[in-house]
Amino acid sequence: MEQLETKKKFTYSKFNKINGQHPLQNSCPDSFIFYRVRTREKGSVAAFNFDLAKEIGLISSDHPEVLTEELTQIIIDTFGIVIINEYDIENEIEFPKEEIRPHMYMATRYLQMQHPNKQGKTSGDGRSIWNGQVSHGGRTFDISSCGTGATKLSPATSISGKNFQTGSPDVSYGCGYSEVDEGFVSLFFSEVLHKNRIDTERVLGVLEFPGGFSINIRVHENLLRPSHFFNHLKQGNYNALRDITNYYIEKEISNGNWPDAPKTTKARYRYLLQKLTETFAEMAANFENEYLFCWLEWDGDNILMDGSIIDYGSVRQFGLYHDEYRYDDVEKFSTTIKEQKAKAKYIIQSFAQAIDFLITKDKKNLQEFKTNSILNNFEEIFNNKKNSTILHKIGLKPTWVNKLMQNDIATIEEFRDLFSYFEKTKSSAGLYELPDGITRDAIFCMRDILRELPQLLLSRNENISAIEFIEIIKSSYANEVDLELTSYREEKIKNFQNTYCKIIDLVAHHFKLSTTRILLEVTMRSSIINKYDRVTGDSISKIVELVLKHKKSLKVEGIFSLLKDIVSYQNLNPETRQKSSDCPKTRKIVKQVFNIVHYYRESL
Amino acid sequence: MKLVLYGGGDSEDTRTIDKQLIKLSMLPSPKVTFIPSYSYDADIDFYNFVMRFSKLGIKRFINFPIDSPFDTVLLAEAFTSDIIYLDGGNTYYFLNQLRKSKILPLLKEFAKKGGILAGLSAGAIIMTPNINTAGFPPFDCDINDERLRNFDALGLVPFEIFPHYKNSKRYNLSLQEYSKESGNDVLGCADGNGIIIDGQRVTVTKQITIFSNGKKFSKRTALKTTLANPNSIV
Repeated sequence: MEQLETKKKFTYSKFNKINGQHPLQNSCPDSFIFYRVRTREKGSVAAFNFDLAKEIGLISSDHPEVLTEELTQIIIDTFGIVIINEYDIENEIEFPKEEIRPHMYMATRYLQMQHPNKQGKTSGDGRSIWNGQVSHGGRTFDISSCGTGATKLSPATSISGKNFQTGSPDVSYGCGYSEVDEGFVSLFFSEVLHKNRIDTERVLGVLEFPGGFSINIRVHENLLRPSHFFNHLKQGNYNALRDITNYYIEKEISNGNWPDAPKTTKARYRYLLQKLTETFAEMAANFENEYLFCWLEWDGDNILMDGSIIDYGSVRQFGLYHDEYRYDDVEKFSTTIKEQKAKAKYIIQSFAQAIDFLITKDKKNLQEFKTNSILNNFEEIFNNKKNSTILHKIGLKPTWVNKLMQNDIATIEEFRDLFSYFEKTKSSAGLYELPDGITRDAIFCMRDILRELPQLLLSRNENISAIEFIEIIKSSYANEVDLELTSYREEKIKNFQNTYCKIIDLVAHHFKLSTTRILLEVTMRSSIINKYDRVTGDSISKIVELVLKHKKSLKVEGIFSLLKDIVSYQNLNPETRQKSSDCPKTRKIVKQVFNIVHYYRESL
Repeated sequence: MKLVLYGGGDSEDTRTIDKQLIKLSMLPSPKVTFIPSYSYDADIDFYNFVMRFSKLGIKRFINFPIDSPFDTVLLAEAFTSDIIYLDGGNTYYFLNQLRKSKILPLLKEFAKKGGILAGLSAGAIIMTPNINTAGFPPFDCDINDERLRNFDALGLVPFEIFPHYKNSKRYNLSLQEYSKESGNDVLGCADGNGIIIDGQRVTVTKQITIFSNGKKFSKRTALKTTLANPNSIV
C-alpha cells in the first residue's frame, strides 16, 4: 500500500489553464492593457505554498509536500514569464518565436496617488500581470504575478514620459522586477495574518532569478482593489465603472459570498455599497485592534475590495500601539494607524459617489456625500467591531461576547476608554526619526496585562496594586518619567480593574456561572490571544533574512515546513491553536525565530 | 520535602498521579504554578495544563515561562503557589534557562520550605542530582543544542530518573551500563508512572524499574538501597 502511494502519479493539468486568459478581459475592456509574454529563462522555485496550492486545486489534496521534478517544471513553465513591453517594441527587439506564449496577459489599470495624473489615466500594475483564474470547490481564484516586467502603468514611466526596458538599472521600482526578499516577506507575513483571520492576499510561490530577482505569485478570490473602480469614477467613465462594478458583483455572487444579493441592478448597487461599508468599517477597526499599519489612502490602493491586505511593501504589525509612526516614502509621509479609519471612511464616501453615479448617471461632487447616511452606518459598524474585539481580547468566548454586545454596551465602552488610555500613552522622549520614517513610542503593552490579570485575580481574589499594574504593562520604551504614578493614573488603574471585573461578573450573571469559572476560561484563552511574543513587521523582516540565509540547505520543502511551524506558533486563535511540530531539520532555526520574535515584540 | 516526579505521558496517563499530587497539598484547591520548559508553545501548553488540572478541581493557575523576560509581580506570585510544576521538553535548554533566569536556587528553596515541587520528564530529571539521563541512550536522547557542560541539577533526591522508559533490551543495557559508570541508582519510569515523595514516605507506581550498579531490580528491592527509609515504601 505504502509503495503504491509513493508511486502514485500526480497530475498538474490545472496549471495549463493559467495562461493569461481571464473573464475581466471580456467584461471590462477599459480596465486593462494587454501584453504579449515570453518565457523568462533561468528561473528556479524558491518557495511554494503547498497548502494554498491544494486549497485552490492546483495540486491534489493528498499530494506530498515535496517539490517533484514534474511539479517544479510546471511551476516554472507556468509562471516563469516576462512581458514584451513598449520598450521592446519601440526598439524592435526580437525574441525567438518558440519563447512567445500564445495568449495575451493583462496589466490592470487602477488609480494610484504616486502618479502625476490623479485620475488614474496612466497608473495600474507597474510590474505585475494577471496570470488567470482557477476554479476549485465552487470558488474561483485570481492569480497574478509581481516582477514580470516593466509596464507603461508604472510611476517611473508616467513621471519620466519614457518607456523602460525590463530590468533597466536606471530605475529601481520601475524596472519591472521584484526581489526574492519581498516575496518571502509577503509569504510569511500573509500566512501568519491569514491564520489569524485577517483578510489578505496570499502567496502561492516565489520564483527566483539571477541577481536576487524574483516573480512573486499572489492569489486571492478577487484581486480587484477600490482603486480599480476609482480611476473610472474620477474620469467620469460611466461605462467602464458600470462594467467593472457588474463584473465584481457577479464574481461575488458566483463565489457564494453574497447569497442574499438582490436581483435588480440598482438594488445590487446599493447592496454593494452596504457590503463595502461593513467590510471597510470592520477592516479599519481590525487594523486598529491588531496594530496593523497598511497605509490606506484616498486612492484605494494597497487594499482589496473585501478589505484584504495587498502589497506587503509598507505593511507592518506593531507590537504596541505606535499610533504616531509614519512611513517616509521620500515624497510624502504615510498615514498613521489611527488615520486609517478616516481613509477607509473616505473610500466609502467615494463608493457612495460611484454608486449614485451608476444609478443616476449623474456624477455629483464627492463633497455632497460627506454627510451620506452610509457614513453613519460606517461609524456604527466600526464602533461595534471595536466593542466586540475588546471583549475577545479579554479572552471571552464568542457566545459571551454576543450576549454582552446585546446587553452591556455602556460597560464595554467604559472599559474600552480605560484600555485606550493606557494603550495610547506615549513616551516623554517625543517624536524621533527612524531609518524609514518617524515615530513616538507607545510605552505600555496591553497584551501583558490582559494575559496576567485573570491569573492574578484568581490567585488573590482581589485587585493588584497600582505599582504592580504598571510593572506588568511597562515596555522597554518607557523611562522613569513615563511610569510616574500620578493620582489620575492610579484612579485609571483602579477603574480598569473594577470595570474588567464588572464585565466578568456580567458574563457570570448572564450565563449563571461562577466568576471563578469565567476567569479560569479567560485565563486559558487570553494566554493564547495575548501571547507574550507576537510577530511584528520588524520581526518578519528579520525572520526572512534568517530564512534566506538558510535557503539552500532548507530547500523548498524545508522552507514550507518552517513556514507552517511559524504560522502555527503565531496562531493566536484559541479555537484552532495547536502545538507546533518538532521538526529536527528546522529546530535550530525555529529557536532563532523565537529569539527574533522576542527581541522585536514591542517594535514596529 | 514534598516532590512528585512524573515519567511522562498525556493527561489520561497521568491522571492517577495528578490526583496524588493534589492530595499531597492537603488542600481542596491548591494554587499551581506552571513552568514550561520552552515558551515557544507555552501558551497552548498552559491552556492544556489548565484543562488537565481544572478537571480535578484546581482553580488557581500561574503561567510562568522563564525563558522570556518576566515581571516581578508574576515572579512573586509564582512562588506563593502551593505547587510548582516543571513541564517536559528539552532538558538541556530547560536547565540552562532555569540557571540564566536565576530560578534554580528559588526552586530549591521553595521545596525545602515545604512547597510541593513536581516535574514531568525533563522537569523530573531537573529535580535529581544531574541531567545525565537526558543524554542517553543515543537512539532516544535530548539534543544538547545549548552545548551545556555543567549538568548539575537541583539534587532534591538521591537517585536519577529515566523518563519514558520502555522495558526493552537496548534500553535496559544502556541504563545498566550507565548505573555502573555513574554509581547512581537510576529509576526507569514509564509514561503514566511516577514517584511521590512526602517527607520520609515514598510512593511509586507499578512500572518503575531500578538500575543500580549495573543491575536491574524490581522496584521494592532496589528502592531499599536507593532511598533513605525503605520501610516507608508503599
